[in-house]
Amino acid sequence: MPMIGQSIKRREDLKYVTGSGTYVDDITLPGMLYATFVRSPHAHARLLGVDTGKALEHPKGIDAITGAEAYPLAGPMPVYSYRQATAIKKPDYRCLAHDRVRFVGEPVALVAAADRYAADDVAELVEVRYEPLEPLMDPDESLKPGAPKLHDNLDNNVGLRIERQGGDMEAAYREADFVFKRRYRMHRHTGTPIETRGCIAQYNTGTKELTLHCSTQIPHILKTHLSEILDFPEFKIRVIAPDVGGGFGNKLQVPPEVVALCLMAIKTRRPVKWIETRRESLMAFLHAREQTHDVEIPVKRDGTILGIKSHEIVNAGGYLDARISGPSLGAGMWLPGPYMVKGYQVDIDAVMTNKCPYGAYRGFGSQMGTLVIERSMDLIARQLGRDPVDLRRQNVIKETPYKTVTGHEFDSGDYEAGLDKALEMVDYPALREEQARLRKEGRYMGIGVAMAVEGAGWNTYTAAMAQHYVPTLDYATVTMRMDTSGNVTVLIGDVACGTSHATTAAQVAADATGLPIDTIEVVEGDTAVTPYDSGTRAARFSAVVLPAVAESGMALKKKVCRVGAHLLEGAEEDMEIVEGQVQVRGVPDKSLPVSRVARVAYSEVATLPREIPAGLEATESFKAPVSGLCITWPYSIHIPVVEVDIETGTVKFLRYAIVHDCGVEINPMVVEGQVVGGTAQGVGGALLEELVYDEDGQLLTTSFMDYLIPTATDMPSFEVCHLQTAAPQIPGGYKGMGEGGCVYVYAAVVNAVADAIEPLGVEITSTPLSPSRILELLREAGSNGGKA
Amino acid sequence: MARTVQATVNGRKYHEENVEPRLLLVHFLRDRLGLTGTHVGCDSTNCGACTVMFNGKAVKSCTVLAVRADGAAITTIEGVADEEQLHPLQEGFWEKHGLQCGYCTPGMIMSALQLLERHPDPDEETVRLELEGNLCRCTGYQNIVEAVLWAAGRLRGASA
Repeated sequence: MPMIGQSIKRREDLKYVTGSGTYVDDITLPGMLYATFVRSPHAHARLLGVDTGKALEHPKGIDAITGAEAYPLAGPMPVYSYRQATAIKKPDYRCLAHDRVRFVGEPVALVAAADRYAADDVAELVEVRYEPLEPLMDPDESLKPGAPKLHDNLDNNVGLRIERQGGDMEAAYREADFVFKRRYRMHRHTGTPIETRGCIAQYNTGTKELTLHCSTQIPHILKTHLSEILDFPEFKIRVIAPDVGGGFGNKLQVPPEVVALCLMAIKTRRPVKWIETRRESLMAFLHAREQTHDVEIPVKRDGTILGIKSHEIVNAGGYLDARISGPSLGAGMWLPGPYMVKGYQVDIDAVMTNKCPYGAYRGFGSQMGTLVIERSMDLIARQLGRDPVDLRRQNVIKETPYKTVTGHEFDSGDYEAGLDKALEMVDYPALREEQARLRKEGRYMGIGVAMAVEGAGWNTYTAAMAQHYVPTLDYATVTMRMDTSGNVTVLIGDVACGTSHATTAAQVAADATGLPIDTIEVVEGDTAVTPYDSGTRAARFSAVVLPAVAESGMALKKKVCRVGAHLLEGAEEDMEIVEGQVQVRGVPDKSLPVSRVARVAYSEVATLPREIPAGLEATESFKAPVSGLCITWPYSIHIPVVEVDIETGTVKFLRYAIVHDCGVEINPMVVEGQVVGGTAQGVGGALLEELVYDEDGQLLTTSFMDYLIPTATDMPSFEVCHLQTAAPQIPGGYKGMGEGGCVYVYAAVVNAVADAIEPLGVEITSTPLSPSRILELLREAGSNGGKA
Repeated sequence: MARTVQATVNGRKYHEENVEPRLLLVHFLRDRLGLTGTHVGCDSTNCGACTVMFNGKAVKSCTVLAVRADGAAITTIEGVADEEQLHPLQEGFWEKHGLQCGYCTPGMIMSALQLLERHPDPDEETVRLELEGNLCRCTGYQNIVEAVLWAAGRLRGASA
């Protein structure tokens, strides 16, 4: 029975349900010290001096490192150059601040002490003198002529400029009967994995090796960057990602803190552990999402959407994170949605402010582009007196493959059929009748529709290795090794962070080799034993890594069959592996257990002809077959149904229907888990979560008491319909789906809430839609029934 | 002033000297006793990753001082069952894909243990309400709810 397509139970779960998982804070090394960062309490200040004298007098204080000390030892943090970036300025971003601090929580010094609590005591004794400066919190302020420059080496406060266009935008304007214009704003929030960042750095004076245990999605990429930043030989660095307690794109970061921790390990010659507190994490781990779009959409009176143009402003924070281009560009590239437009144009400015740096978070900008186009579809429909579904149906791409104005080819899928399926799931006409009936009773039910084509597997990461853009393709390399008893280890260079790799890779490996799944084990995350890999990102595991697993499995099978053919005195091409037996095809009597073949290949090599190599191991690579920005094109349609209580501003979910297509599913149970989980995360983003700064640049949301991630009672039961259109260019047909519902959910939920309260004269163009914000909108519209 | 803490954890008696009065129970369990299945997620009693049973009640061990555990009986995730015979809740989380990264799972299971003691036959709403103090960022809770309902059925079957 093929393993691919089976909802088998996860092979990683036994350790987790028994508490025997190993996350970074579960690891203790002999002689290990604990580190705590001293962080800036100011949003913007000149750093006048850092005095560690008293700290080092503390009986448990071991050592300290300041920005001034670190400056010559560690180079600037990386910023990726993408082809699409027409200008990129690189602020001098160091692991510890040395001249100015530019956001609350920025690290200025690092102390090491004998234990966890003492490290905090010692950090409190570090004396830092600041000269506070006026903070810039809003990109509009940063862009004003004469605004103070946040970085001396930049011409102004624009850190990144991207200009992109495609198709014929002039024709779109020419043919338009009117131009729809709006300003949209998405608020700042982030992924907040329940496991915060953490790392243990260790330096061996004898071997001159630097070993890190680090909670990261990118062990190999991190190693490469550390080598560059620290000017340290890459082959002497080993990064081990143990169990990772959630990543969501945030852990694609190259953390400045980890660079400083390496310096401390080298300096003290002892392992040093740093585990971030939740407060630190909310202040200084990556933030995401905050953008505004000034949008123009030329439209014909008959409802034809002709094009879309936007000026996108990203609040980039105090420094540019390595991946700033990604979510900036992602939003721009998703503006045309799944619709047949003639042209698009986007001008993107990532603007420096005194907030935490802005980086990757599940969805990578696509949710913002989707929010802009999908909100606009609803508003245009209303303006034209049309049903929003009807307007989508008129404009949606009817046939694939389809060349988009953004320069991509949507290669497969039937978007209109997906829409129909979703409408059928909720019985759309009946819902509209129900809505009309409830409105007469003074109840506000809303139906939200959002659809998009989601790109998976970004081709851009190796730009990381160059200071300028170089053309690149994503790829994955996988090694498969059979041991002397016939069991197989699959070595993969990325790392699971809840993403079920140990199960799905074993399913693919089992089918590729013909071996029982119980004899296959997956090892990931250790750069010393796995092939180079760009990490767990961009939903690429299925689209890029698993084809490499299959290639490598087939190569191993070939080697097993070759030894088997010799032992069975048959032809190699007549061999097959069935349930752990090597046999002559169709002749089960002529067979040998794989374990016997393995024993010969390792221990009885003398009995084999010289041309058959010893051992059983295969390494194969899979290169992305497509050179565009993305490799595969999953898509989805979301229809949430909500009721808004106009007295309290709360949103209650009545239904939530999802149709999605991620190509061939390896494990439908895992796929559904990702779809539902990603959607839930986005519901939190749309309705609850916001990183709020006051005008002085203080972050007001520094715990889960203020930063509200969804609880079990906030979530509906999601209904999921799976379509499976195989990806034509990927062996196996997988498209990838780790972004889950995160791409679509914002637009869908915002549209649902907007639809609910639209009769009260409210137009929604910004998020979050927290209860207080909904009440404010109702008050502004004079429509909360006269209640407070 | 360092203290001595004598506690029974997962049925085993521990005698720990020189316990700092400010030491949190979660760090006592993790760093002193090596029971690392109990996790820290928020430091502020919101996320529930550190939930343990303390004298029969589910508590968040990041806001309990270790010295209060003197004389107490504590169960952590490591003490819920042995590997050979999982507790129905552990089986349920596995069966129903109630976890992804696994970081919140031990706390979630400890809270669910108390939930099932209070409500042996809960409905979905009760499960959601009772687990409101445990945050999961991966699953959207849907399969966690399923897992707990599955375990409830198993336990009722076992006791019937």
